[in-house]
Amino acid sequence: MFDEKLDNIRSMIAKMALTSQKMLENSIKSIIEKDGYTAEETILQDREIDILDNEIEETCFKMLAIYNPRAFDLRFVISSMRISIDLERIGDSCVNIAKQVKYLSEPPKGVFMKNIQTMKKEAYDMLKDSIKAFFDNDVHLALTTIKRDDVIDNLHKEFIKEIAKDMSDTPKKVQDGVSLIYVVRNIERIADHATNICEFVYFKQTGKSIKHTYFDKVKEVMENG
Amino acid sequence: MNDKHILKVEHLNFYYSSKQVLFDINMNIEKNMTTALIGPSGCGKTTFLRCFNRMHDLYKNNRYEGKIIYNGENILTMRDSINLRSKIGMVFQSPTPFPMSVFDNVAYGLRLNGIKNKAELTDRVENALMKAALWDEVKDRLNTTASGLSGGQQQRLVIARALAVEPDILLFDEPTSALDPIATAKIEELMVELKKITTIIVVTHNMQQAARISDFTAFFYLGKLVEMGKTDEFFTRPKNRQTENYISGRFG
Repeated sequence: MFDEKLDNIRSMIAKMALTSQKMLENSIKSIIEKDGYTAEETILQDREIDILDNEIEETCFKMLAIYNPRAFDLRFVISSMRISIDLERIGDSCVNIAKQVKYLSEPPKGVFMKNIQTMKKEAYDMLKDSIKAFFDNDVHLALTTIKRDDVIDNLHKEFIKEIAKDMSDTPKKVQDGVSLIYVVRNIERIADHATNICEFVYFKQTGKSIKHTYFDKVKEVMENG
Repeated sequence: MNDKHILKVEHLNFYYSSKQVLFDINMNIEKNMTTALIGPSGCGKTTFLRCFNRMHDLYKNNRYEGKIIYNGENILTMRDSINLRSKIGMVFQSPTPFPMSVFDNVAYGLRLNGIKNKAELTDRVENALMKAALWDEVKDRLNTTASGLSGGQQQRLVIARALAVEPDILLFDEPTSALDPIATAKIEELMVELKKITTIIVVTHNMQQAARISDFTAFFYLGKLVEMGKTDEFFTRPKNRQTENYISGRFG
């Protein structure tokens, strides 16, 4: 009965992960194409994620109270609760992105479009790999994925500079610029959540926490085990 | 063995007649700490516990090999097992008050040790009952029979009786398995307090209890010590696969 419940949690996390990946795809598509319909669809999908988040929380809570899981089972339940929170927040970030469609006067063009797509691809791949690491119990993939957060952070900084320059050069683009800053900020947050997921994969597999550690620490863990 | 180790078990084997039930056990017990022994029924944990105060001597044909070093001496070859049992006391699964008054129960071991002075007896009985967190409940009925106490009170009385002779080590063999949750909680709180004045080794089937009250946990299986470690690590990241499976409820 306990193992069935663990399978149930795995299945709910898989559903949440798939929905959040789809929401990320759709939210960026809605911005690139200034597509209000897709934006609306993305906002509605968040409801699915919220329901799954509640179900996972309730299931984990009951498992802790009734079964007193220990060792790997305990770490699995705790990390699942935390990963569910990160996936739910990824859903919220996608909603934040989709909501910007109505403020854009036109779809982003040229280098802006390319930068958004590049950032989205990096964040999407990190999210996908963090979930793969969770299901494959793959500590190495979790650690290499954490390292990739620096790529997103750098892209984010560079892109913000470009948008700010465009806003100062062309004051009538201020509203679009603010929206794009909001979009890239949320993509960067999604990568942060993928990083958090990887940290909980590491905890699930080893019982050790690497939360709030930085690249040097991750490198040390990868080299020394 | 260093200062913090009160007991050192070296290559201990134990036989019930020709049947070997403990196999080459090696373990250090830290002073003023609680060590929990866990494992499935028949794994040898109670047999192991009973070696520490030579309870097996009460039956013929039982045989020990190896050493249990306590105060520089091997417990297994000591001549005076009565004195040993006053230094290493035992509390059993079911409360075992003697058919006498509350006072006489606690004074029993003291009288056995030759203490006859009434004032000293009174002081030490009161002191032991206070340490066992029972004084407030029985101070007005010290001369009534102990069998009139509740199960939880009887178990604390037995603990007071063991404490009266000021033991270095207390052995608990599933001390709460016959008690309700409230009485269990009181005994657990008491055990945590008692660590300040004594060293505790406890056999328990209740893994949550082991996790709550012990500093170290040892897992036994088929008469062998599989793993021993700090309790908080033992229950969150055990090193041995058999331990992991047992504490996760996948066998045993």
